[in-house]
Amino acid sequence: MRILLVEDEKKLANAVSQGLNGNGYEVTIAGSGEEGFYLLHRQPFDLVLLDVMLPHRSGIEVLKDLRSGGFKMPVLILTSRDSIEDRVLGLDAGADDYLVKPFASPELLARVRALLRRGRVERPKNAKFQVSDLELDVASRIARRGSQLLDLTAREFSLLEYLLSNEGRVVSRDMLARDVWKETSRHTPLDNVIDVQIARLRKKIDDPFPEKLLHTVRGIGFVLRKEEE
Amino acid sequence: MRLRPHHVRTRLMLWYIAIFGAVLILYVCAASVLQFWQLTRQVYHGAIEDVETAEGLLYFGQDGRLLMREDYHNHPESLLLIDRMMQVFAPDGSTLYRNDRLGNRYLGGQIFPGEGESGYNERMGRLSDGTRVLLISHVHSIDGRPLLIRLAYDIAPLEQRAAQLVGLLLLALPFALGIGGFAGYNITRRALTPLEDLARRTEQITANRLHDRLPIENPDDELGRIGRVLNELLGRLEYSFDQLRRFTSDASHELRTPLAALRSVGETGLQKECTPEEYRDIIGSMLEEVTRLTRMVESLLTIARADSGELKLAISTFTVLDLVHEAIALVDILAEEKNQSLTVSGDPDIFIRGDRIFLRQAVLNVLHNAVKYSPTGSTIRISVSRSKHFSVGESRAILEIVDEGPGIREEDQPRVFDRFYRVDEGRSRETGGSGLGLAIAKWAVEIHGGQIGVRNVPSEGCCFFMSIPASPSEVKPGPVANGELPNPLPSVKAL
Repeated sequence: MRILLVEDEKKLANAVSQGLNGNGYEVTIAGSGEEGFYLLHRQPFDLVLLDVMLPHRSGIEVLKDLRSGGFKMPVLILTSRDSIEDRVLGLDAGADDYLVKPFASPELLARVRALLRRGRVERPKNAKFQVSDLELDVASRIARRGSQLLDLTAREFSLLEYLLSNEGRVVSRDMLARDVWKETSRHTPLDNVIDVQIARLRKKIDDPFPEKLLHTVRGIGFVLRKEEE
Repeated sequence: MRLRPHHVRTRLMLWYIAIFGAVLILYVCAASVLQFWQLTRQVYHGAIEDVETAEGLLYFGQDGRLLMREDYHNHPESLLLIDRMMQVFAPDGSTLYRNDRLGNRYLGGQIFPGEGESGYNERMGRLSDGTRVLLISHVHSIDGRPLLIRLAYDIAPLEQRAAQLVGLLLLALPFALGIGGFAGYNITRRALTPLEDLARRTEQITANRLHDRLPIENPDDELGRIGRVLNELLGRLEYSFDQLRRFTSDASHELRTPLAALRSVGETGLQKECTPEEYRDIIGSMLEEVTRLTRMVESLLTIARADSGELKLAISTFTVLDLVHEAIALVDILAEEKNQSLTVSGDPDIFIRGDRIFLRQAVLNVLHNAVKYSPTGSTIRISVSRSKHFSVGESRAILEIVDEGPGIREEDQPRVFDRFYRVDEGRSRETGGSGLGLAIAKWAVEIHGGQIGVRNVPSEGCCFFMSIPASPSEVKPGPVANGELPNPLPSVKAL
């Protein structure tokens, strides 16, 4: 998957590029809208990450030109302004999604994955998950480790389901707040709540067992994965 | 381009002169007309007497010609006599007599029917050569023959006198205007001097000297009122500036703390060789500070938007109790951790109209605050009720959150809703609050026309209360498009 990153802030561009590279994407950096256009005409890209505050021309103008030029790939806007007007402006200009700086890299990865997956068949809703000996059946709402049934609350169940559907990938607290707690407001004091909820879940699914699956990545979020060999 | 003097003083003076001049000219005209009219009256009056005299002097001579006894009662010094022009007509219209002054001119045109038969007829007339005259006609019988006597006086001397008067008055006009203008200018200047003082003093008051006030000599006159209003304005400005200054310095301080942590953790980490595990820990610790900074910037942005009125409200109708339950669903896990119990009581049918997300956040922030500062094992009681005594007919939803915490000192109570205010500085970092939660709650409640406050409850902790205008009933459940709020909103800059 080839991603074009149009971002004039070199430090951020390099960090984002490395993060995406580490997850198997091929990233090309353009420092300006003009350079981005030049690259777009030379080679195909599957996704464009577009900064709004670019030198010379704003990302919104670049995006409009890009859409009127017939480019149909998904575009994710990166912006440091997140008022509703700015969002509407971006989406009207033809953006598929937006991400407000400073964003957490798991969040960026999740958005990129979602945009690249778009149009393809979604994973069936009533899925079964399994990591090591942890199993979760969404349809029958049963979770077990090995032979032992886990007694989870509704919140714990949906939290575990979310972690399992992102197996091996770090999820940030912001993602949990939005996708599990369905909190739309970014300023709700949910961090403590999430930490406590994770601790409780861990007590049920990890503490009685020798193999730990739910890990805290300090400063970023949480990940559910097999312990590395 | 229109000519418009810059100074109010000059403008006032010019207006003064213009009005004064117009009045004077009007006065001169009126005086002249009056004088002319009076002179005319006098002349008519004299003329009637003169007609009577003349009638007595007329007689028919032996040859049948009409004659006048010039020797009798002849006062040449009398203006009327000298100026007198006279013509006498027979009933058939033929001229019987003309005096010397009239000469061979004809006096006063055609005779009209009934002229001078009943009393003296006074009118303006003309001689045959066009000279304008005051004319008196009277029918008088001499020797049994009714004769029409016309007597006339030249009008020119009268007009001349009137013109003289006008000329004289007009000649004095510029002097009058000059004196008037000068006086007007000085009066205006004197009247405006206090205003200029005011302006000068106001000019000297800058952002750094907002505590200065204007001296007011007499608070009851117009200038005193302006001064008072300006002083009140200065007071409000000073308050806003102080708030802004405190906010900026608080915000900088709050941002500096995580920055300092970020820096020292990073620097310490670089100074020694570490294992990958240790490096991971260092970077994680730095990222935690970044998260803290991000949260703070987000809250600051929310406040900035609220201040500038940029936030749009998504209005819907819902019950207060639902709002409370939603907030509890989020924080009850934190209360559980501290073995605290949350109890809810109240009327489930109290509806309010407003932005659900902002109001829930307000409840959430207050509730979160209560959980944070209440001791382990205590009870937090939440109650919803309706109040009607705020003003006639207006019903309000009252939400009270009572905890069993240490309470808040009376002098600190008004400040707990200030931005960045923390009652206990030492606890701020460990409990992780940004010091903005209650400020945001206050804003959210006040933008809905509500009030928020705190009071201590004897033998318990403190009670945070909110009162929000209640909606009469369930109007339209579920969210509706951005609409008007039910009540006139107070200023949005309430935060």
